[in-house]
Amino acid sequence: MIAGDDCRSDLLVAARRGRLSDGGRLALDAHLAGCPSCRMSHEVSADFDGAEAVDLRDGARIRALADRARSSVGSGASLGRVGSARSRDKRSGTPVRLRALGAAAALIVFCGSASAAVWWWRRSAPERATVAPRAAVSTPPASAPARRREEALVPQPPPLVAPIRLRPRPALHAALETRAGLAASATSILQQATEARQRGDRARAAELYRRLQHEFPASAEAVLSAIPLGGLLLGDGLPRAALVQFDDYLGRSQGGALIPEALYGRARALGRLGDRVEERRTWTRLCADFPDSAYAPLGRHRLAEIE
Amino acid sequence: MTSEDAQAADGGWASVRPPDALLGVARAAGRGDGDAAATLVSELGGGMLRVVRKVMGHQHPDVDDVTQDAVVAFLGSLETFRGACSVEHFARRIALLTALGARRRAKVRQREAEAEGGAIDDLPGDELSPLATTVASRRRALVRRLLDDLPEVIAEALALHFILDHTVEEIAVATAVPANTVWSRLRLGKRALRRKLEGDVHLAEMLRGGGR
Repeated sequence: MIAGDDCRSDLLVAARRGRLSDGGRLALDAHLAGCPSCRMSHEVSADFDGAEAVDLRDGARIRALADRARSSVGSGASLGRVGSARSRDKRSGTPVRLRALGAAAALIVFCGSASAAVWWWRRSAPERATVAPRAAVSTPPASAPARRREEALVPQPPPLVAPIRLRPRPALHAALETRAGLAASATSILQQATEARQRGDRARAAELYRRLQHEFPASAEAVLSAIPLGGLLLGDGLPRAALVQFDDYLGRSQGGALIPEALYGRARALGRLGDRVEERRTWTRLCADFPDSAYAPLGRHRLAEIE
Repeated sequence: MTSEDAQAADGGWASVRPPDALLGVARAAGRGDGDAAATLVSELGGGMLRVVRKVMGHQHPDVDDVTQDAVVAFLGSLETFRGACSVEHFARRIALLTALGARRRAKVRQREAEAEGGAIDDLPGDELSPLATTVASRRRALVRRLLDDLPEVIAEALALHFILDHTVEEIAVATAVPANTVWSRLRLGKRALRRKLEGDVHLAEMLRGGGR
């Protein structure tokens, strides 16, 4: 048993990195049983593992980041110290002669393009003047065709703005925000219902639970709400309606943590309805599947009564 | 993300480890090779994004911006990267520190407080029950708020421990303090976390199973 939060064991980290042998895992289990500090660490770390969900558009996000990294670093744009063209040249040790040759090649391409553009412009100017005189006046001579020819000759760099815009990003987040809004709303309603129940406002609580189930039927909160709502209905003398709620939870939760509670509520609702057969079956299942739950002793007592 | 943060992130993992396959690419990116930078980001961007999400929350609207800031900080720090840890861990640590700083600057806690009780920040997984999902989400929200409130050095130690699974020795090297200091910080952080978790009525309510 380790006192307080001063446990110095690294067993948990080793386990999370997959570096524990079978014996090490047994040691960890024994340690966790007696160390509240590591138990809390274990739970919190596992909670954060659950936040690792990958989004459908992560691939596009990362591609956009990579494109931006390529264009920013490669073009010498500001990216901290990496962006300094001067220091980059010094570090990379690129021969000066090679860079001079590159510059000369670029100049040749540019001059060739400009000459071709001038030739093209002189040859076709009268035709264009007769067809579209206003355009001929308003367009700067040679520049547009020269640009077109340059574009054809020189490979263009990748677009600086990737298909997914990282900033601003309204389109990117529309779906996420909608989903977050729904989750927030469902959680908010569940919270309000819980508070109403704690205040003793049963009618308001039941109304909020029903609203949650109606407006967010697929949410985790709606599934969860069946248990407290069933309890409220049972308390209000509505065992049949309560039974529907408990059965709903049992049908939808798929191994949920509140199954013992649902079975307990179901058995009590069936008892109120006088269905002894189903009630016995439910208590039996509760006692068999969850013998350590707080409801098992009640179940055994009730089974003895029914028998 | 300051240069000190970046230097702090470059530490730990002093034990024998396999050769870092990304080190050569990182060196090239540090020299200003655009293709190397793109390769590095393609390889490590996903991990950095996940770390940012863990710190900020999956649904947080600033996740993309903070990830981008982290990538910029990472690329900008490669020049001074000493190779004391793997490139991947260096990137993840920078993502963590960037996200922690962003949370503090943006005061996201205030925005989260608007959603009373804390929103579920992830869709429920198939492997978790609805209650377990809700409890985990609530606990994550509480940890994040605590990280906002704690002194920075304690928050950093706690986040490195819980989110990046660093050992005390690794945190000590990364933050350039003695291991005993890290133990002390972790103890204070865990104590604060325990109080936070135990004092949260909503979490207690959920752990009681939604009540009857």
